Amino acid sequence: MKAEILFLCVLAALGSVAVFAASSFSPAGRRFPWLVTFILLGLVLLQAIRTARRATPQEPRLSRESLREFLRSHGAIFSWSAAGFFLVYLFGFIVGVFLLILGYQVQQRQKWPAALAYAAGMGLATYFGFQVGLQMHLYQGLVTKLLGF
Amino acid sequence: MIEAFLNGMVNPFDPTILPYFLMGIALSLTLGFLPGIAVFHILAVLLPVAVILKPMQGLTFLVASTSVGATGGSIASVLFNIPGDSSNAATLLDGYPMTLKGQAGRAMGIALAASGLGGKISRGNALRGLIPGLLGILLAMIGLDGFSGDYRFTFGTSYLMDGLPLVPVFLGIFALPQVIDLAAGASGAALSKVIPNVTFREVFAGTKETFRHWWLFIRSLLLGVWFGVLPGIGAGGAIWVAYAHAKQTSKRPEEFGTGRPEGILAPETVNNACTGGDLLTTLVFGIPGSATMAFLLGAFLLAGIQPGPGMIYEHLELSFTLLWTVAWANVIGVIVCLILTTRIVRLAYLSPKVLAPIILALVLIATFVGSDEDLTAYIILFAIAPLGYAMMKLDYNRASFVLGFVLGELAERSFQLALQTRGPLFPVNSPISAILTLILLTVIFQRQLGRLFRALRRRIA
Repeated sequence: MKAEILFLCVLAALGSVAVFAASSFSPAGRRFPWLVTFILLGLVLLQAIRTARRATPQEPRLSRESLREFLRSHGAIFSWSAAGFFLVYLFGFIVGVFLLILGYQVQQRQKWPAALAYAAGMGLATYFGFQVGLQMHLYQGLVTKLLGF
Repeated sequence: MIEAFLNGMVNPFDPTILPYFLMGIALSLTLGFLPGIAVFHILAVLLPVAVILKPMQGLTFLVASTSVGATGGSIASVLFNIPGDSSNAATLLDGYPMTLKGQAGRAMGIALAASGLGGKISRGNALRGLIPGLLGILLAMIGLDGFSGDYRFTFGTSYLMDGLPLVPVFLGIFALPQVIDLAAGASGAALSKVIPNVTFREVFAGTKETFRHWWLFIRSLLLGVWFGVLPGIGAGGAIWVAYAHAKQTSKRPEEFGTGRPEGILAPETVNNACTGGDLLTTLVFGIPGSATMAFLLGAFLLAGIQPGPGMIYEHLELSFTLLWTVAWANVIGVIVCLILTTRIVRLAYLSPKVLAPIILALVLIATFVGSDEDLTAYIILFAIAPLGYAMMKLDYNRASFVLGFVLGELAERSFQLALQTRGPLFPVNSPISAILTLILLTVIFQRQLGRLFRALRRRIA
């Protein structure tokens, strides 16, 4: 229940920002944004009331341990996503994807040979599938460019 | 017309298109086998292909992927009791009990044959669909307003002046949350270590079962085409109607839910038959009947093609090619599945540890390719992903968000036009618009109206 209320609060905040920002548009420009946002805010309020009314006092509380586990597992994959972006930014797609998969597999305690095989397989698939097969221009990476490759 | 029809029939086998057509089928089948991976996720990752290939190649690739996504998804429903896609949700009611009885192969055979020959009603309340839809429309407003000339919600950032790019938004709403969910272990493929022994003989016995129930098959097929043509319902709703119909007309309705072959046959026929009708509505009217078609509409726009009545004049051959692609892809997809099911089934047991980084890598590549090789698109991807994740976990309809985002511009243009020509009371000042408004309000408030009518009836009684 709390998570949904929090989500609806975020939506309400987004809607409020939109209403405020739209007030600086020309009258013709603000008409549609205001219409959509006011309806959105109304529905968000309605849903928040429904959610709050539906909540039972016996709703089990999230234990500190499970919350910590949730944050750890979700934080880890968010970090890996960000790391993936930086690896690609630095080394380009082919090397970046290889390093991302290798790092992830090693962190997940996969055996080195298997991790290397997965990573190399995916790196090669990226190269042959996207660059050669689909003839996509894949980003080369900052370090790769600086090294003159 | 006839020439375009015939060309459309053979175009998927043109040497310049065939590799993409087959690749679309192969990728979609492979990914569709993984439980929790829906057609949306596959399309979100494959969408950038529409940008880099020629329209005929790119769109054939995507339509082929869309067509067979539900076929692969049926396997996950049968094996794990988790629908690969919402359009496979009804399959698990009788598919999984058959697996528990040791008839997984037969159940898969029925599902595959019905899928090949054939071509959710949203849980929760309407607000969970309307709120994301309006949010999608709101985000679609970012950038230059063609009507007033204002730059809206750009907050002085030049990057936002062209609006939010389609691909990172779709990937942020659908694909990245799925990766997070897989990696965090909330869902995942490795649900059981016991791989059922699926033999080709069993699968073949299942396909024969489909022919035994040929009359139910034909009725389900017609239902599927009809629901596909109706905008806004899609396969997710049609499967439940088909399931209910199969149950009502069965001689043993009490056995439904315990592993009846008809309980698999009807929804699996409908979900694939819907795709053709759904595609037709999207092509001819430019109105997607489902979220999958909203993705395809996005792909059309990325390829520089505006679906709508003009398609018949300007892109008739392409339209026929895509409709034929649906038919051919289903046939080929099922043949491949029938031959390889006993082996491919092992794919569904891949660990999330292996899958998550691979999908993450695909998401990163797709974002780059789908946003004109612009690295700043990753900011959009990472900013949208928490929103998509929250919607996924709280059961808000992300498909509505996609519909809102893709159709937002069209909705605004129509709104401004109606306002100019009919005045502020345009929703009610002509009989047609008044009827349409009434229908719309009835659909939105059907539950409240039902409650009101029941209360009135009680009071009168």
